[in-house]
Amino acid sequence: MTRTAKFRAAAFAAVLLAMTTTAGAAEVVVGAIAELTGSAADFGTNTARGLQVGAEWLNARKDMSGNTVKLIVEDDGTDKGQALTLLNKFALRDNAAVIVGTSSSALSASIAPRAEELKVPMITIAYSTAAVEGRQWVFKATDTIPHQFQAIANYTADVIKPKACVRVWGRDNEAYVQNSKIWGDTVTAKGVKILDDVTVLISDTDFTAAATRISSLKPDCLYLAISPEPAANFVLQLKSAGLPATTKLIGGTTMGSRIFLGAAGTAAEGTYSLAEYSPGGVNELGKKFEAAYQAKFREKPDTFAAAGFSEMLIIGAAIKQAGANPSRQAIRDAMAGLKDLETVIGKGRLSMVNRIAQYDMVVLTVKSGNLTVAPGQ
Amino acid sequence: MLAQQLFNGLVLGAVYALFALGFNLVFGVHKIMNLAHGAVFMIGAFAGLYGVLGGLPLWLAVLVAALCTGLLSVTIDALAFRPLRTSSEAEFAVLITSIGVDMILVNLALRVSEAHTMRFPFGVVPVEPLLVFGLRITPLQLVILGAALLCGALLAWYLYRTSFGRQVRAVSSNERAAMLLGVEPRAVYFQTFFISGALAGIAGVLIGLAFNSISFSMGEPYLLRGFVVLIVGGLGSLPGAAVAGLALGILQTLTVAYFPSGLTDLIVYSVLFLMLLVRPNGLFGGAIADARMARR
Repeated sequence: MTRTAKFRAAAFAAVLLAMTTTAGAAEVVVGAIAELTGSAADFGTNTARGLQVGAEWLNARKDMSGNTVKLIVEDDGTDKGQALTLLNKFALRDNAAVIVGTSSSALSASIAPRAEELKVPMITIAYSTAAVEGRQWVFKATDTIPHQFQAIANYTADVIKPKACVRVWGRDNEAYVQNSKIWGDTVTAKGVKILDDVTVLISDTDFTAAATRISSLKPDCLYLAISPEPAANFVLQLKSAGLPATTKLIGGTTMGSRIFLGAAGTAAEGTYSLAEYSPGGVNELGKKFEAAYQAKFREKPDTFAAAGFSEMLIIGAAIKQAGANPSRQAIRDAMAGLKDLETVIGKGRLSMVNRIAQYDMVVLTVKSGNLTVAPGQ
Repeated sequence: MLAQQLFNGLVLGAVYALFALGFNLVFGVHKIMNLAHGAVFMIGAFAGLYGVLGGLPLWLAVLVAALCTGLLSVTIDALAFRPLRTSSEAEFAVLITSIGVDMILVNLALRVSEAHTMRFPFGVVPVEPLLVFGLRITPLQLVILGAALLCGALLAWYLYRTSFGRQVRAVSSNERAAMLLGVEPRAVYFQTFFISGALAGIAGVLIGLAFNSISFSMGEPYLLRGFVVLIVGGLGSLPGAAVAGLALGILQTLTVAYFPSGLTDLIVYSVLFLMLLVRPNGLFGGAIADARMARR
């Protein structure tokens, strides 16, 4: 065989090989049901942004067995009916291989049965596990509340070491009820006294009476389990009511959000929060994510944006494992078996356990107006 | 703590009273249950906020908000309520129409604000509290009390010391008879709706400042409380609105202070229910109810 002929044969073989690997490779439709308006718009908008950065990241890397991702994001208006309509639309009309939705525990739980019925993989960052329990097609991209909030509870008891605390939570949200119970049970078991329990509605704005009641007790710490906006409002009213400066303010993931920091202003200084995402990124992937997010949206990502990005990483890894032109079943099976996946949340690695992502959380504190990793971890 | 909570309740009650005065003014004079009053209150808060963000000093922003909501209220009357006044079921028709107006205004605010909760910039009002006889009193709380007292006093002066006020009271008592005596009802409607809207707007700004939160849905809880004040104080009674507003504020605050927080609404609405059993016309509503019966 002449040299030219050999060269032509090699080139032909390379083309054949490339065609084989991309043969049947598809554009995988991912339908995202997001709270872009309504009461959960604060979480939903940033989560959707994280998804968009994630989709662009996956398509740029071209590491999904030749597949690409087509992300469609639509607004459910924080309304259950609308969320269900979107799920049906994505699954039946758009032939989505994966549904992402939603950021709200209540909405996710309401649409999960339909995803199960249609046998389409659905992944959510909702805190409550209600959407996942008893199902095979629904996944949770964030860790369980007990596992997550154990971190902040242990940090409170082991590092902050208060003698007596007050608990405040939103009584109309299952996730807040649950996480405040976990925190309370853990710190009580470690010898911290709970002086008072105060419940509020997430829609409340007047916390004057509650703030005065709490301030009069002069607790060593105060645990807040409510959304970012009312949490900021509560903190401001606490300061106004004379809460001692020595009282440590501790919260869950919502108090680590940009919305809380912006709304609370200087009153956020020294507060502690639980974070899935450490500003600046906990690893190289986190740093790249932050740079990409900032380039696209001209602001730094928060924990919800990071959770959205992590959701797309999970989807991308599942698509890759499922192979070219994957079916919903193949994606579902791959997603369920993900282990030690590099991510940007927690301490940088997650695994799926019973369709729920598990990872180690980080405790942050506000120092000079910025979130930093709290000492003593 | 009791004294502090009583003071807190007084401040909250002052806002309820301010809200309810406007609500009750329209009902008392024109027998119109204006369910868009909460939305007008909300628009007032936004108007005040945008005024401050636009560079106006706070006092001027409050006046601008009052003017905006006063004119809004007059417009609502002209477009939504006036065409229904001649119908046989005017009271019911206006009630339903006011719900529609409320939904329109709330949805407009939702679109404009993109569902974000907004707030006045830090430092608009000094936040450092004063210590007076052991009570922590913020400058804003003093402003709220002062504004409520001033508005109440001005309203009382207007209604009982001016010829305009005499005309309003005449229309309230009997519109046809007032017309025969030369009173122009349109002018009365204009004034009452303007004042009602202005009071709601001022209350909206004060609440937005006090609780650091302005959103499209902020009017609804106050409308519900406004109902309670209306019923407890007596339908159409302005002194009743003031007294019941203050009482409700104190009751609500003490409930949160001394009982499990989830019981607040239960206790407040239980009081309303008991009031209806014991005094169906409310604290001050006896004479008004008799007049309505006589008119029928």
